[in-house]
Amino acid sequence: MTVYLFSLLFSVGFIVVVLDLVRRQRLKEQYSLLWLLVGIGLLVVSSNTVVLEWTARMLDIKYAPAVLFLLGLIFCFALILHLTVVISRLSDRVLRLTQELTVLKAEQENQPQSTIQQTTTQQSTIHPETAAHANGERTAGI
Amino acid sequence: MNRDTLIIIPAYNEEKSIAQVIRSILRYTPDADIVVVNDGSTDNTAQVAGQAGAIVLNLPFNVGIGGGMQTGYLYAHEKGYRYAVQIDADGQHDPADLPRLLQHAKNGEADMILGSRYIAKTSYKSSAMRRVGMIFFSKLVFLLTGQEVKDTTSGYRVVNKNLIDLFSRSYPTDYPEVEVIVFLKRHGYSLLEVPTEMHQRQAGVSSITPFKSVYYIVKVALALIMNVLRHRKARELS
Repeated sequence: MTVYLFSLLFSVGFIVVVLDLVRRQRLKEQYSLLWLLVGIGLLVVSSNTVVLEWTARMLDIKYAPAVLFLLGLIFCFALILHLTVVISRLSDRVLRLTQELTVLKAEQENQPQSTIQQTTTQQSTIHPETAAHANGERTAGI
Repeated sequence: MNRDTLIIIPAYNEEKSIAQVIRSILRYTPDADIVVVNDGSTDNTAQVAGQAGAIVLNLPFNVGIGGGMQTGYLYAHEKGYRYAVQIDADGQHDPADLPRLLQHAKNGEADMILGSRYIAKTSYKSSAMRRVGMIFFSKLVFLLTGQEVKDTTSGYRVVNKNLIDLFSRSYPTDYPEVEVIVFLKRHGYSLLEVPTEMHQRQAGVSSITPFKSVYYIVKVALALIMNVLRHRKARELS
């Protein structure tokens, strides 16, 4: 009986930890749903061995707990693959951000005088228009 | 802006050779702008390049040659340059060839002009291992694009505005030289290979080790095949 009790406590503890991580904004809701489902699955399996035994029969697995290992392994593979996809996308975005930042920095540093002159001349010529825009937005806002 | 040509030099810890390369480029093409993409160097590459008369793009950390070159193309795109040149910082490429390479591009002979070590005899000697890799890539590129390119890994190349725009949007990472060739051919752009002089490196050491070469060959081969699968549609349309 002890292992069932242990499993039950573990499942409940797991769900509580996931919920707490979401509460403290350490885990995104998007991923928490997945982990909550896993927790609930664990809870079901540990509270009722019938489900596991039925699944084992359906899959023609002689040793019922092996179903747990099989499903656990498949789940881990799928999750790790998904995470590497996410990491690939993240590194693409970080690279792009780095590049755009680098170009922006260079534009600022390399022509401080000419850009200041340009902006001042632009300001003097476009001034009435921009002022009108700003006023329009302000009144619209109020 | 009157100048229509941007010379992009990707540099990682090249303080010993970069100034000489920049001065040499300025001598042969005084009417071009030079930008050094400092890929997170830990030495004085940025200061030395700046003092020698180049614009310096300082990446905050090392992003690799592909990410670095794309930063250069992004700059060229935003500033509206019509031609962009890639040339190595280690002094292996001879800037004396630059005006000739640029002339090919300005004549509209191809979207990319590739400076090649192997068309004519040059003073450059390469190792046996490197030769095997070269021939392998050359054959693979021919198989995938139908164009014979002898020096697929050459980092001495001129591209026109079409390719500046394409590269600023999408450019392969890590070891991009070979992949770029298949990538641009798949998008229906043209490439012309012309002979250039190639020197032994002036300073620093090549980062290629036997293990890395095998990894490099496998990784690039996979990337090339993926390019073909990915851009099959793009080619059918063009």
